[in-house]
Amino acid sequence: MFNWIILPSQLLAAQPVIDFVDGSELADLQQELQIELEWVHPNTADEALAYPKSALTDADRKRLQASPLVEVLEDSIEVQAFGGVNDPLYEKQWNLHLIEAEIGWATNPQKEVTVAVIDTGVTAVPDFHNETILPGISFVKGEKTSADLNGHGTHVAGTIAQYTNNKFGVASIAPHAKILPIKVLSKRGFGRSEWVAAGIDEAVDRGAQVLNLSLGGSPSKIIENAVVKALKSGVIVVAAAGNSGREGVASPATVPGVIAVSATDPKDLLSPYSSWGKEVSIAAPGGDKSQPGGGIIQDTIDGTDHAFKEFQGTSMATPHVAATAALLLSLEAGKPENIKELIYKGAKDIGTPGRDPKYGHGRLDIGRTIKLVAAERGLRFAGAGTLMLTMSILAGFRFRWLLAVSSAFFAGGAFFLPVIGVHEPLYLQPILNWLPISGWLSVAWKSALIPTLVIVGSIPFPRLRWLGVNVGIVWSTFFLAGLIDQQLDTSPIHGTWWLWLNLFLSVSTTLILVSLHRTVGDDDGKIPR
Amino acid sequence: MEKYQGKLTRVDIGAGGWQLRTKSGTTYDLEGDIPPHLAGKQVVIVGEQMESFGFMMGGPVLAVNSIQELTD
Repeated sequence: MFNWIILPSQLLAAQPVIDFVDGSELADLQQELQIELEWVHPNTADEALAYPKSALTDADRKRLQASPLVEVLEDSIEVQAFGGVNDPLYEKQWNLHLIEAEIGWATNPQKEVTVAVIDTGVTAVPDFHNETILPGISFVKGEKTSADLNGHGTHVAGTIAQYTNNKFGVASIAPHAKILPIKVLSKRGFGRSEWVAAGIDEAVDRGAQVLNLSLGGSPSKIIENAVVKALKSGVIVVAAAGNSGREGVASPATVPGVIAVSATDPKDLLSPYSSWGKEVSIAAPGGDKSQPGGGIIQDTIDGTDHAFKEFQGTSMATPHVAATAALLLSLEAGKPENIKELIYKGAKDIGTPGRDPKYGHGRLDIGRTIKLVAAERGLRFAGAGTLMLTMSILAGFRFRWLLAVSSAFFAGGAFFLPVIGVHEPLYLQPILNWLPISGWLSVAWKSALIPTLVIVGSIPFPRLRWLGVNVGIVWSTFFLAGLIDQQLDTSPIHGTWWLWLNLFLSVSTTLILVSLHRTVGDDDGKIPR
Repeated sequence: MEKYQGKLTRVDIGAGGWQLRTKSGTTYDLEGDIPPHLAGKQVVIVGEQMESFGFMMGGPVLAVNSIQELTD
């Protein structure tokens, strides 16, 4: 029904990255080039990848580009349309290809989302953007640092938000997301139930919207209580089903309301180690290292160094789902319950048809899930917009009237957009965001400038005037509808029947517009009665 | 502390870990210092079952106090 247009979109704030000749020393470069620099990460010093500490002027750029010390200077922010990303190890990430992570990358997140990785800690290995990892906390006795001394937590966090499209290492699912490291497992990978419970409470207190629990054990009342409390406060909790290779899901994935994740291999079959059972909500790639290249590869720690390592486990499957939840939250796709529904509805049904104990609702599929969001949101916008147009037309408004009404809509849209944070139809985002502008100018461009240009442009052409005004009004009502949409998200009438109503309105309005097109034609621009 | 007997196995799950697989079919995730040269051997472990959580998720967690290779 809608064109699914994916154009280059921003992944992260524009940041120039300079690749110097390998082996360059930071101090020498700063002195030679008279620019303050910092390594992308201390461990990338060998590769000599650096950020300038302050904004570059055009003159700086020219000077740098001319310097023999500089191999590449670029703003590494663009996602390539449909071509994947430029992370060299992306080709080994069969898991991201399988779940169509690319469709997630092509969206424009509106909101910052924090995922708590409740695990062995997280270390800022080189393939993390320097702003991704928030200050963390450790509940592990004898390990004060929230840095990872095992490698598990960093790997898990990597699947969620490792730096993507940075010409280095691997990609991740939700590179915009922030990672909150909550250490509850020791360097050996074990933790007491009270540490885990305290970690869950702390993550919620610190404002995490998604909890990733790639851990489990025998049922523990204090952990389950902490999880129930987190769920009640509107946090999405994702937990691993376990690695027993048998029926029987580990706690806390068994807690009702938690998204319990089993693991699949590159062939979309249950991984041999994965636990399964009636509580499994969804399956996601967890890998199978008995198949060549069958593990999940991310950047993690390896002793005192870092390495791109393949891991397997339901621990690896879990962050695929947590990251998808974060992505949907960042797109303001709905409340936690809606987000869960979207993830389940979008899942590819594998195994026994319908929900089953091995794969739950199916294998995670970001592509299908995002398309559902787009269709739902697009239908609502189109429906509300066309409803207003229909009413205007049925009431027999004249063009001058319509111009006045639409002008009011433009002004209202321009006024309300930044105040309320109106949703935009997802399928229009790539078009709306192609101009490299932000703030008020961007708001004005989206809500007022485009429709005004369309209307003004059509005025000299009587035969096009009706079309220009209609397009202008539909456009601006999209934004007015955004206000309604915002309210509906929290109202009980948000649901399937609303989609059908909008579909009906869209179709009926289209028919009215077609009949109008046949009858309109007089140079006064009046709608004949 | 109790004694547990079975095959000591290095398991490639997450960052890796150790498990004890007993003849009766129970799998224990092992927490503690395990000498790598005992991998694949029949061993006797003196330890304690803990209410512990981890990323191994293969079975109940056994905190290892001592470990000995079964020789006969």
